[in-house]
Amino acid sequence: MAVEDVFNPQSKVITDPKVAQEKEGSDEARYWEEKRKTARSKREFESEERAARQADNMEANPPEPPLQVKGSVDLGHFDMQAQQKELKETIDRIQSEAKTKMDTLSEKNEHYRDELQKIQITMVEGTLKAQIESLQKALTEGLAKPKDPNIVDQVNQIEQIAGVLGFARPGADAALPSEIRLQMYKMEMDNTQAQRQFEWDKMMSERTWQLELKKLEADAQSRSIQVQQEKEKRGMWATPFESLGTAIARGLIDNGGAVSGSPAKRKRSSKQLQAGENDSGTIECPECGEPMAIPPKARSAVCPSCEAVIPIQRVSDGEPDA
Amino acid sequence: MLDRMKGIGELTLKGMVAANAPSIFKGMVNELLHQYHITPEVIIPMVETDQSLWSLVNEKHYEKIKKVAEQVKNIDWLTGDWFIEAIKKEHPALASLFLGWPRGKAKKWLDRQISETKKKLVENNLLPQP
Repeated sequence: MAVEDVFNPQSKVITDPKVAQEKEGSDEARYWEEKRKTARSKREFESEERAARQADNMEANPPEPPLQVKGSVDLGHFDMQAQQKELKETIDRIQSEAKTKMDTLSEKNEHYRDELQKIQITMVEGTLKAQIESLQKALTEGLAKPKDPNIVDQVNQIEQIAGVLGFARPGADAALPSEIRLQMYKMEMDNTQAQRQFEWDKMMSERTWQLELKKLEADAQSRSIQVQQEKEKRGMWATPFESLGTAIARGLIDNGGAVSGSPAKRKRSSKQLQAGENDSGTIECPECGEPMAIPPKARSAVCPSCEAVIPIQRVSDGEPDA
Repeated sequence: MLDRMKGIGELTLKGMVAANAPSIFKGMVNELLHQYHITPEVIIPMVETDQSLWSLVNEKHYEKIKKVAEQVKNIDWLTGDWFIEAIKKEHPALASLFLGWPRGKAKKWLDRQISETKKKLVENNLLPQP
């Protein structure tokens, strides 16, 4: 066995302060990690122990079971064929009963119909008999009475019936006798008729008057047209000769008919006319007031009376033409 | 005797008409312009479309003109200028139109109308051939 030199240790630990510091830090972390693991193990152990204890308790004192219903029901035996058979029998029975009832009702119906027919026939017979009797009676009475009853009686009768039925003529004077009332009606009717006739006559006379007026107007118009035509006709035939004769005479009188061939000297007027671009027509001379013409597109107009040349300023759309 | 007097009368009348032809024509022209209501508004479209003035004159007036023309043997005096001078007193607006139309367009048209009139009269043997 080798002797250990205790004064000279075998291994030397060279400690770097920086590394040592880092190592010291990691040791601390490891320490706390172990502490955490220990604590967790302890906690787990305790919980396991608690669970084991509870299991033991459960085994020793088991809990009461939940509510349970026990028992059985015997529904017996179902025979479907028997049931169907029974049902069919029931239906057949109901149908036969209904048929019997319907037969009975139809028999009753026919009986009532026969009864009704009998009653109707009896009624018709009765009515006819009554009508025949009344007709016979009326015939026997009618032969005895006059054919045309008095209208006054008829009116009275009608009024009596109306009175019985609760109708009365509004405003009727019950105190007046029927004859007088009838006369009054007649008079009213005559009056109305007369008024109507009067209105008709008035309308007709008005119409006739209007027609006459129109005829007169038409006559007057046609006469005036005739006169006008006559005048024109006469004018066509007579006027030329008359007026031409006058014209010849006038021509002869007028300066002996001499027409000077040389025109007078014209002078330019200081006045100016304004006209539209396409204007032409007749105006009064600004110098002498005599009529003169503006030829189309002319820049000056000549007055033959005063021999003035009037400049024309053409204006287009409100703007003077340069 | 009566026939001779009638003939002398006719000759006298003819001579009188011939001697005063321009005056008679002047009166006739003015009167016809009045009767036909010839105004610048009527003449302007006629000038622009070169329409004949004779289209306005009816047959009766034409016959009348012919009758007067029969009496006249010379109408050299009948010109555009004479016409304007003849009408300027009674129809100054018309005369103004003929005088004032640019480039003498209306005057030329008037000259054409007068030439046409003369031609018509010659064609109808109312005037001798020029």
